[in-house]
Amino acid sequence: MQNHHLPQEILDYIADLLHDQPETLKRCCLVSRSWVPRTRKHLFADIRLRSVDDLRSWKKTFPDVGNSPAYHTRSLFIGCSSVVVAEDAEEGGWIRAFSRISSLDVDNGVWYLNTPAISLLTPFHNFSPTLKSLRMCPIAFPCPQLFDLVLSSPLLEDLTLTGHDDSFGNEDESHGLQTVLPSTSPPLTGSLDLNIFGGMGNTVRQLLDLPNGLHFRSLAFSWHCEADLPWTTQLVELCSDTLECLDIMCRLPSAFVSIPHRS
Amino acid sequence: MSGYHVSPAQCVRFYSAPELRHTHLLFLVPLGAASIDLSKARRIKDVVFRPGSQNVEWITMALQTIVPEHRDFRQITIRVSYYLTLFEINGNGRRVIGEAIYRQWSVLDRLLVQLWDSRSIRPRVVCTKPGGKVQNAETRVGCLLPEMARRGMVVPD
Repeated sequence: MQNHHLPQEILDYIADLLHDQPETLKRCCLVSRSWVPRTRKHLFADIRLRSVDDLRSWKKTFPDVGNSPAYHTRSLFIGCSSVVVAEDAEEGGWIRAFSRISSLDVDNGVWYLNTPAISLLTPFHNFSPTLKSLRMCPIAFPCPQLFDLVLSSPLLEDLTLTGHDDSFGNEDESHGLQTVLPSTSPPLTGSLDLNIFGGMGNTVRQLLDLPNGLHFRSLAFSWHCEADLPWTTQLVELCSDTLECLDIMCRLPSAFVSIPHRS
Repeated sequence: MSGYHVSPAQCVRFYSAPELRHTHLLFLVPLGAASIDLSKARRIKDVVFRPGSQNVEWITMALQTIVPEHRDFRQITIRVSYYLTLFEINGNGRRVIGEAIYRQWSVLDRLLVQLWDSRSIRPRVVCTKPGGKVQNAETRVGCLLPEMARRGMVVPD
């Protein structure tokens, strides 16, 4: 098909209108080479690597990291982070091909907390300067490496952390893990969602140390111990100039037992 | 028969009645007299509370910190878990769930209605029914929040 009568801007506009119709976009790719770049932008905007099979399939389809469509990806979900880390280490940083994502969602799927957080987070350090939204689940706290990642993301707005803090109540363990703070930090003007078994104290302490302060518009917390309440109060107060939405789930340990009477 | 056993770690509430044919034990960690202060968060629009036990005093205390300067406040949502409704009222909720808890819900009921009437902050109590196992959860919660239920503000998920 000859399309030289249509200016590229029009072709791009057509592809943009089809952004939520992947099957149609795939057909567009077959029309002409000139249609490919714009359709790729939409086809690869949201990549979900849910399993090892997904990961291997991606790497088999796009063996050349430099020319892979990962460049177009804006939202990346990784459901097999331990495998990603291993393969990234083996092949010299293929994950960095996703250098323009704005949303990163790392979910191990199971509460496999024996994997050191430092190894899970290593490939992501400094890897996307455009990162705006970060979700990590589950993760073992306290985790200074996580805050290295936060600090290396200058545009970060939304932060969702789910995990377990084994050092709750053990002040000594949390000391000495603090990262070296730069003079600036991400804006953090979006949402903060903390769901940390064992208590969110250590994580909040690290957030409070960020040099630019906290300006979240939305706060969501799951309380797992009484100490989470004063931390919530402190965060609400610190974000009082910007806070618009607050969501609190009280998950303090409780149990309901019903014992039938003998007839 | 009903009562409390209090230990440093947890509070155990129990009740037993012949007509229920069950003895119910509820183990929970009390929050004490602490809650959050919303008074400085003047731009707040929406709050959601998800109580994990029948103790709702902390919600009331938080809502009592709402001040006239909260001009953008639009909605208060309370999401009640299905297991909190695992009781049979039979017209005697006060005795079944205990006087102290019953009073907490009554105070919350009045406060939510007051905020709606005086400040137009819309309250909504959502009852979750996962898997449809619990029938009429909103009716049971409605017994604890009668005025809210009468105004149709206790709804199923």
